[in-house]
Amino acid sequence: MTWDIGTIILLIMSGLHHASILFIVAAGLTLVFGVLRVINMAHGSLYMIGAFVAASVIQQTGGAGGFWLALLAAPVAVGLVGAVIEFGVLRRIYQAEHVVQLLATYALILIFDDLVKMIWGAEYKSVSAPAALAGSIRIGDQSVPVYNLFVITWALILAAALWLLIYRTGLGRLIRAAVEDAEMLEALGVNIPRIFSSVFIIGAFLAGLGGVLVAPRGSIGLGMDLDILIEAFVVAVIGGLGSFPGALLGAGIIGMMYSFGTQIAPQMAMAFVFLAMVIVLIIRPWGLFGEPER
Amino acid sequence: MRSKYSAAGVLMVLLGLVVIVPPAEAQKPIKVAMVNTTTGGAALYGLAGIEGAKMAVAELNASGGVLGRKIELIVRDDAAKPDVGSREIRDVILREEVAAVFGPVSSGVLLAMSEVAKENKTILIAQTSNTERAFVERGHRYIFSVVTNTFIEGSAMGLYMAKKPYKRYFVIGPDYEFGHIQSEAFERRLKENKKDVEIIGRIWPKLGETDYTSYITAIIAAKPDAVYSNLFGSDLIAFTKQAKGYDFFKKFPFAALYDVDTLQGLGKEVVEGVIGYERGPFHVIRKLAPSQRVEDFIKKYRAATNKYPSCWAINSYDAVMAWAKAVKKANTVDTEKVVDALEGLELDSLRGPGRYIRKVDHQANVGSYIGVVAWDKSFPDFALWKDATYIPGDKVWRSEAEVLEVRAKAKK
Repeated sequence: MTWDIGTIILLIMSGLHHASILFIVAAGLTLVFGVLRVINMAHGSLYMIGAFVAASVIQQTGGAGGFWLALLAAPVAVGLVGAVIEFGVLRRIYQAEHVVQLLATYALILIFDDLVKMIWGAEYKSVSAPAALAGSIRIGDQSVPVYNLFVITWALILAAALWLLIYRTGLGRLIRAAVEDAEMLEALGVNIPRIFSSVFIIGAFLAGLGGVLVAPRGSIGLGMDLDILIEAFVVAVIGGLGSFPGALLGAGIIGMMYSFGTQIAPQMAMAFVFLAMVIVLIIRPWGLFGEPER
Repeated sequence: MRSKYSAAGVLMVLLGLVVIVPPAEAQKPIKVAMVNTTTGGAALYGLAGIEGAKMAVAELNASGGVLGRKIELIVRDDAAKPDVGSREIRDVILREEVAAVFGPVSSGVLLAMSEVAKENKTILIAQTSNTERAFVERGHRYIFSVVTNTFIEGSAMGLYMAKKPYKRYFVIGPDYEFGHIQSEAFERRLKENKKDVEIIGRIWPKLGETDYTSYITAIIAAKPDAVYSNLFGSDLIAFTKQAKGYDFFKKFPFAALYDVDTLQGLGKEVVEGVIGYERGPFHVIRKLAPSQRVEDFIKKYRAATNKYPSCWAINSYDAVMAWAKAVKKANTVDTEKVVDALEGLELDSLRGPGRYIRKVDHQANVGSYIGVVAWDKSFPDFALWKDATYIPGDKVWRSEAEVLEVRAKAKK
């Protein structure tokens, strides 16, 4: 292979694209952990449900409008599922051991796997991107899919929106305070359960959004829940569980490692990713942007 | 991330065991079991296989059963995990005392289940998983295959591609048992039949990978003449859709497992002109070996599932029917006698006549179907193939002497 400028641009674009999806999903995972102190094992399931809902919306509406409708409807639907989970399950076990929370959310993976199979069946679904996003653009002598650029743009917009939400709104201030010390906040008379619910719904919304965005470029099927869960988890751990800028940086690192790693040593790309996680954990066990447990 | 999480990990594995309770026992039926994948990414294949097996059992029971006894099919989920598969097969053998087992989907699970079948002297017939190693290196008296194994499948494609002018190949396949050893067979046969070919690169994305962009760009940067792949199912759908945006298929001729499920899944996103191969596509069978039986099967399958049957369904049906025929021939369900009957048995295969099980590795003479993906005007549902051919198993499989040689080498 040759390291011409076209190839390098191609690799950077592909790394950014991978990072974009990872960021969107990992941001939800890390946000929920930061505030609720629960590792939501079912986060991948929410992502899978987002993709299936998107497929149904696109297939039902047909036409070019379907995708745009799905982009709105699926995250909202998944947000509602998140509300049900938070209210029905998590709210009852916040005080319990971590292991109980892990088991409960792991049980949700199995339940959602069966529910998805009952509702949508086991066969693969595949939907198309709208015509405006279907083509590719030329960069030098290489082609890059327009859809990938769309996903990257969307991730950037989302990063900005999340930043505004967390650092510039009242809810964001409460969320940051809850990350610092939820008990103190409660003592001050803040309705903590409501904040927890809001955060979990936002987390679910993000998982659902990730699901919609991957829908047109992959196959939608059972099993996509666990794949994304592991990758998002690695991203969140590298960035620091609970840290939102950490998720952004972690996703960028993993995306580029996949993209360039596959080019340089294809057999090792996966190993590089986990190696990165191990190194970060040795040097900073709380992640690049995380804070040590008090 | 302290130590309590690892305890949680153990519990999770325990929780992952999904057991389907068998129906209540009837009056002395012959029990058989299918241990197949019904959860996770491979559930599509597992469920299709179960449907095919159920149809075979229903047909047998409708005609009075086997040896005058009804057949009862017990279904278990192996969750695509070797440990779960071996536990389930042990359970159906010891507790349910089944006469034979069919399954599984994954080649990794097959190797694990095969050990249990051998230990307990119970017949295991593979109908989806197809690693050659289970029948050659680790073959034994009780394991049989009615599915195109990795050697036949890879070799058939090697033979087919050797006729093309391409010299520099890139290989991409899923990173597990099946992907690696099927590619080995492909490369070997390709090089035997075309001296000047070169494999310029091989990459192995993990099974179930969803983002192929880095692999696609790696292949584009390597500039091969053609790309050979044994990606399949959801992986192949994702790869195809993502590669399209990079004008990948305009740049490189491409061959992969474009089977009925994948074509159906791809729908309008399908790429015409890529080369597909499969182990029993109904649309080719009905052309190459037309019969009322196949048409009836397709019709019944559609009535039951609202789908067209995949090769997993067809091969599973064949597996049950092969066992039933051997039992009738042996006139007993006694395992040793049924094994003797299976060796050399001529299958009543949906795929057509001439398919028999040879003695040396218990592999059925079933070959590979190859064609070029294209829309068929008379079939609007999804794209099929054109210019389809069939390369029979006995044209490309290992000679008996070679099977024994490979086996002897493995023992050392």
